[in-house]
Amino acid sequence: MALNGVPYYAEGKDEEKVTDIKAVSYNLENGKIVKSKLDKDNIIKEKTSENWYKIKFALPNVKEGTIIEVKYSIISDYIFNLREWAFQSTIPILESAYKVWIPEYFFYNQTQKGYFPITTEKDSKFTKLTLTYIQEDMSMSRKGHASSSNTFEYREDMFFYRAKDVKAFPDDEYVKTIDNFLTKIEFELNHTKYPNQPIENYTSTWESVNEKLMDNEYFGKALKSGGHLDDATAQLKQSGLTGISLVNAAFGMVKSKMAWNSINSKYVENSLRKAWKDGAGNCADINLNLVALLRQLGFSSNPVILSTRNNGIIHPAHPSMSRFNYVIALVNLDGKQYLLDATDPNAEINLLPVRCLNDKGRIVNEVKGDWINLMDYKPYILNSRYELTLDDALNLKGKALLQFKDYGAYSYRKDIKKVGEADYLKEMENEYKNTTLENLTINGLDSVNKLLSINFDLTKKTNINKTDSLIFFSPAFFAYVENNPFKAETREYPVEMKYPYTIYQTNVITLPENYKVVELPKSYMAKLPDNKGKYTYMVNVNGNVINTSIIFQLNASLFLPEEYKNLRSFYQTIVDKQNEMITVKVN
Amino acid sequence: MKHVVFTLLLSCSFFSVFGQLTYSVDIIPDSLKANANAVVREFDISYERLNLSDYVKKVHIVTTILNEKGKNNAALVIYYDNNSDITEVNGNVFDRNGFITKKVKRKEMRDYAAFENYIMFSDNRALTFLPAINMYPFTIEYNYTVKYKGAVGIETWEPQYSYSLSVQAASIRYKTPSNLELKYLPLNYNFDFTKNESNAEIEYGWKVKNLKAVKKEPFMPTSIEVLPTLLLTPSRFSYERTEGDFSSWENFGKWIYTLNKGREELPVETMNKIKALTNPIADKKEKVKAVYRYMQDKTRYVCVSVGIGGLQTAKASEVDKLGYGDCKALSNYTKALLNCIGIKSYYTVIGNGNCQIRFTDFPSGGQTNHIILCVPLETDTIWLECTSQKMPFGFIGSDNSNRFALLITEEGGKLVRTPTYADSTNLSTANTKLKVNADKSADFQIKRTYSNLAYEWIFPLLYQSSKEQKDYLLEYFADANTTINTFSFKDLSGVSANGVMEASGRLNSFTSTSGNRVFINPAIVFRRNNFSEIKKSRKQPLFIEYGYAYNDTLNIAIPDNCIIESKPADLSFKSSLGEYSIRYENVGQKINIIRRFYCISGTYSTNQLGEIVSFIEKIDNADNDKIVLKNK
Repeated sequence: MALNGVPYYAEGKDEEKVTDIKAVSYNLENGKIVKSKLDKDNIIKEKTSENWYKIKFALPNVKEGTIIEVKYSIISDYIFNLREWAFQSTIPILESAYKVWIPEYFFYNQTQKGYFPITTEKDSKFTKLTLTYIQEDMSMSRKGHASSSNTFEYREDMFFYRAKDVKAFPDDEYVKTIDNFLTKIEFELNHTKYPNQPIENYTSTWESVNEKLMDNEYFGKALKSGGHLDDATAQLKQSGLTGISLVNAAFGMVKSKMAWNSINSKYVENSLRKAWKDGAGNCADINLNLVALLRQLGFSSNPVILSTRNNGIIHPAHPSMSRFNYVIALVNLDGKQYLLDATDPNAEINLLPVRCLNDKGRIVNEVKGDWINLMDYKPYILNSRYELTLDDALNLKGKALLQFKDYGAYSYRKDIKKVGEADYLKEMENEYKNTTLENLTINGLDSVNKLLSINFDLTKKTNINKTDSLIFFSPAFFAYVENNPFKAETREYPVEMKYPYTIYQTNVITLPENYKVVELPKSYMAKLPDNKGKYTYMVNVNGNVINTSIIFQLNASLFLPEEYKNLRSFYQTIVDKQNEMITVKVN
Repeated sequence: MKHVVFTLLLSCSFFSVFGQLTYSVDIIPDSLKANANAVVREFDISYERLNLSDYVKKVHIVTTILNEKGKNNAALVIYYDNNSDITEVNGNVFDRNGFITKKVKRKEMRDYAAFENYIMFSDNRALTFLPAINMYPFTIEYNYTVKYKGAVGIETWEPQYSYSLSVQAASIRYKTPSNLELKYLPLNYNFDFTKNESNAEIEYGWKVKNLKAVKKEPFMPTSIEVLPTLLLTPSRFSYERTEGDFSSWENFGKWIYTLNKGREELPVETMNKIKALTNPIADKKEKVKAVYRYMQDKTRYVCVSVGIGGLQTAKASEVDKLGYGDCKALSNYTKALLNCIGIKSYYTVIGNGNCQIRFTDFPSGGQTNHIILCVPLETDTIWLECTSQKMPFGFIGSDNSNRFALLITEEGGKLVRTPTYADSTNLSTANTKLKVNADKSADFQIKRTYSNLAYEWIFPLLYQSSKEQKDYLLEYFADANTTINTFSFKDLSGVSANGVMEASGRLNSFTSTSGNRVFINPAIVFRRNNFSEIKKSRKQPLFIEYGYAYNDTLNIAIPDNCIIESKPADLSFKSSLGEYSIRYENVGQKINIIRRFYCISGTYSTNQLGEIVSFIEKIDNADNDKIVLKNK
C-alpha cells in the first residue's frame, strides 16, 4: 500500500500529518545483507484532489529479491478517519497485523469483511493524560501567567487483528469490486463520550442514520424547499395524467431538464433550487429534486440511499452513514414500490443504471427508514430472429430482427446514442464477424419503456466445409453465447453479473433445392440447479428448411463459489452443443 | 459613444449575416458532420515570443459536440509546470441554436498532478474541465493564456487533433523579434501561409479550412503521416538558464552534451567493483554484457520529470546510490560504468514507438522522447535499452529499432540508424502434438518459440506469475475447454532475443460431431492476428510496422476406430502482404499439418486492399478447413 503513496486528508491548514517516514530496502549481496535507506529528499507531497494529498517516495535499490520495509505515522484530528486495514492484496501476504488503541471516549463500529479468517485479541489498560491550561495575561506587563493542570485517567481498549498466509486476490470482470471481498477491518465512528459531557452520536443504529439524514441541511431539510418546482408541478398536473403515468411524466421531465455531472453524492451540492435552475448537478441534486417534485404532485415518495457497485457493499449488521455514496428516488403507489434514478436519460421506472445495482439500499423516511432490494427488478431481454438463405457458393444472405427489452434495450440505447443512429451500422457490423450489414433501421430509440427493435439485411461469408458430395456446418452462425467466459477450473469468489438474462433466438435457414439434410444435431436442454439457468436448443428440418430455436436464461445475477463448477459446465455445454454439425448432401 | 461601438462589434461577432447565431449547429455543412463525433468550429492559437526565453500563448477554441462519443473533445486540458503559468482561462457553453447556456469559470475546473499514475516525481500539472451535459449537440468555447519562462520547443500543431473530428476553420500565428528565427515544416496539407515583417518583428500565420473528419482504422499509419500537421521550432532557445539551438542536429546534440557533462562521476567503490567484475572477462562484448547485467540487477525505472530533470540526466552517482532513475539517468549511468573500464559509449537521443526522428533536415525537439545507449566496438555496435531489468542484452525492440537516432558526442549530435530486425527473423515456431480421443477431447503437447521482435509478444509473460501464465494458456486454445497439466515459460535469449513456451494438457472439447462423423478444427492451435479487422472499404493506407513469420507443425493422432473421410487440400498462395502455405501429410492414423505464414512490413496503399483482403479471407478459410473422420 505504501508503495502507491500514503494518502492524507486536509481541510485548509488543518491537515493530517504523515511523519517519521522510514523506508529501507534490504538486498543480499555476496552473502551479506545490504541496507539502503530512503533519502528525505526523495519524499514528495502531491495534491490528488480537493481534500486529499499523497506522500510519495521511490525506494533505493529495489530489484528482484529485495525486501522492503516501510514505516510511517499518520497524526490526525479527524476522528472519523480511523484508517481501515486490508489484510489481503493483489499479492500474497505472509503476515499482516493491525493493532488499534482506542481511548474510552471514542466508540467505533468495527466491521470485518472478506473470506479469509483473521484472529482478534482484545486488551485494555489505564493511562493518564495531563492537560495544562495557561491563561495568557492580557496586560502589557507580560509577566503573570495563570496556569492550572488537570490530570485525566482513562481506559484505552486494544484490538489486535492478525492474518497469516493470505492468498492474493485475483482481479476479475465478474466481480463488482474486489473491495467487497478483500479481507479487511473497517472502523466507523459510532459516538463520542467525553468526561462530564453528554454522548455525541455519530451513527449507531439504522434509525439514527435515518434521523441524521432527515435533519441534514443537504438532505432531508433540502427536500422541504420546493417553491422552485411550482411551475413544473402545475405543468404536469395540466397534462391530465394520473398514477404511474404521471410518475413517469415527472421522471421524464427531470431526466430531460437536468444533466448529471458524473458526481456521486448523497448530499445536495448547494440547494435543490440552484441545481434546478442550473439544469445540472450531482445525483442528489437531481434525484432529491425528483422526490420533491413527486411529493408536490401528491405522491408518497422518499429518497433511497445506496452504495454504488464500485464503492462496495453495505453490511446490514453495521449501521454506517459514510459507506453510502448515492441517492435515488422511491415512489409508493397502490401498494407497490418503484425505484427511479433520473441521472441517466435511458433509465426507466425500476430500471436503474448499472452503477446502482448493488444489493440493498436504505429508504430514508419520516418513520425510521427501511431496507429495499436494488437487484433483479428487470432482466436483459433479447428476442432475435434470423431468416437466412444459403446459396450454392455457401454464402448466407438474409434478414435479422432484434428486439430488446429492459436492460437489453437500456444498454443498446446507450450504445446507439453514443455514436448516433446514422453511424450505428458500422458499430453493429463489428459484432458480426465476416458479415456485411445493410439497411439498418432502428425503432423505439427514444421511447424509453418500450421495445427497441433493430432490423437489417446481412450477407455472411461462411467457411463451410465441403467434400465431394457433402457439406458440414453448425447452424449457430450468430450464437449469442460465443464462448465460455469461465476458463479457470475453480473459483473462490462469487460470480457477480449485472442482471438476469433471457435470450430467445430463432434461425430459419433455407438451403438450395437440391440439398438434403442427412444428419441433424439432437434437440437438447440443460439446466442449472434451483432454476438459476436454463438452455434449450431445438432443431428440426422441413424439406430444405432448417429451423433452430434457442432459449438461454440466467435467472440469477449472483452465483456462489460452490455453484461455479455448474455454471462453468453449463456454459461449456452451450458452446459444445452449438458446435455440433449438420451434414447435408448435395445432389 | 465608444461604449456603443463596442457593444455593436460584440453583437456582430455573435450573429452571422443570415440571422443565425455564429455557433448554431445548423450552419455546420453536412460534409463536416459526416464521420464526425465533433466539429472544431474555430481554433486559433497565437504565440508571441517576447525574447529568447519568454513566450505568451493564447488559445481560442470552439467545438461542437455532436454525440456522446465526441464528448472527450469537450474537455479542456491545459498542462503547465513551474516554468509556465496559466494567466487567463474561461469558457462558454452554447446550446444547439448557439445561445449561451453557461459560463465556465476557473474555480469550477480541476487542478491536479498530471500523469500521477506513472510518473513518480513531477511538477507537471493539468487544469481540466469537462462540462456536465448529456443533451447533444452542444458547443463549447474556451479561451486561455499561458505564459512560459523558457521553452525548448513549440508544440506541434495538429488542428485536427483527433480522429472522427472535423475542422471548420483553424489558424496559428507566431510573432517573434526578427533576430529570433522560427523554423517550420508543414505536412500533409497545403496551409494558407502568410508572413509579415515590420518594426524588427516577424509574424507568421497558417490557416486551414473545412477539414473533413477522418475515421480511425486499424493498422493505420501514425497521424503525423496522415493528418494536417505543422512542425514549429525556434532556432535558438533558452531553458532553465541554459541556451541551445536547433540550427542543426549537431548543435542540438551539443546542447544535450553540455547539459549532461560532468554527470558521469562514480564512487571509487563502484568503479572498483566494476573493474573486479569485468577484469576476468577477456572479450570486450562480454564485458559490456556483464556491465549491462550489473546495471539491470541494480536498478529499476522510475520516471522523473521536474524542471530541467525532464531533459538533463540525474548524476550517475545518484543512480548508484538510489538504484533507480529514468531513461536518461539509467543510460548515463550505464555509460559511466562502461567508461570506468575504458569502453566508450554514446548517450543516444531517440524517438520511441510512434514518435521518431522523421525529418533529418528539420531538427526539432518533438521528434524525440527517449534515451538509449550506443556502444561501438571494433567488430560490432551494441545498442542498449537501459530502462528494463529483463530486456535481453543488445535487444532494443520494435519501439527503438529501424529509425534515426542522435548520438551525443563531444563534437555534437550525429544522426545514425538503429538496427533493423529483418521480417523473416521475427519468427515464432511451434511444434504441437495432439492425440484425439474417442470422446470430444484431445491430449496436447506444445512447444512454441519466439525470436527477435516476436519475442516481444511473449516477453512480459516470461516474467509473470505462474497464475498469469496459466491463465494465458487457458485462453490460448479458445473454447476447447482446456485443462493444463504442465507448463513453462523460459527466456533463452543469447545472441538474439528468444523466448519459449511449453505446455501439455487436455482439450476437453476439441472435436465436434454429426452422426457418426467427427470434425477436427486445427485452427485453434494456430496463432493468428487481427487481420480480419482490415476491411475493403477502409479509407486509409495499411501500415504494418514490422514483418514476422509463423512456422507451425502439428502432429495429430486419430482414434483407432476412425478413418479419415476427407482432409483439406494443400494450399500455397501469396500477396503483397505476405505468403501462406498449408500442407497435410497422412500416414496411417497420423496426420501432420505444416503451416507457414509470413507477413511483410510496409505501408500498403488503398489500391492494394482488394488483393490483401482476399489474401486474408483465403487464409481464414484455409485455417478453418476441417478434417472429417468417420467411425469405422
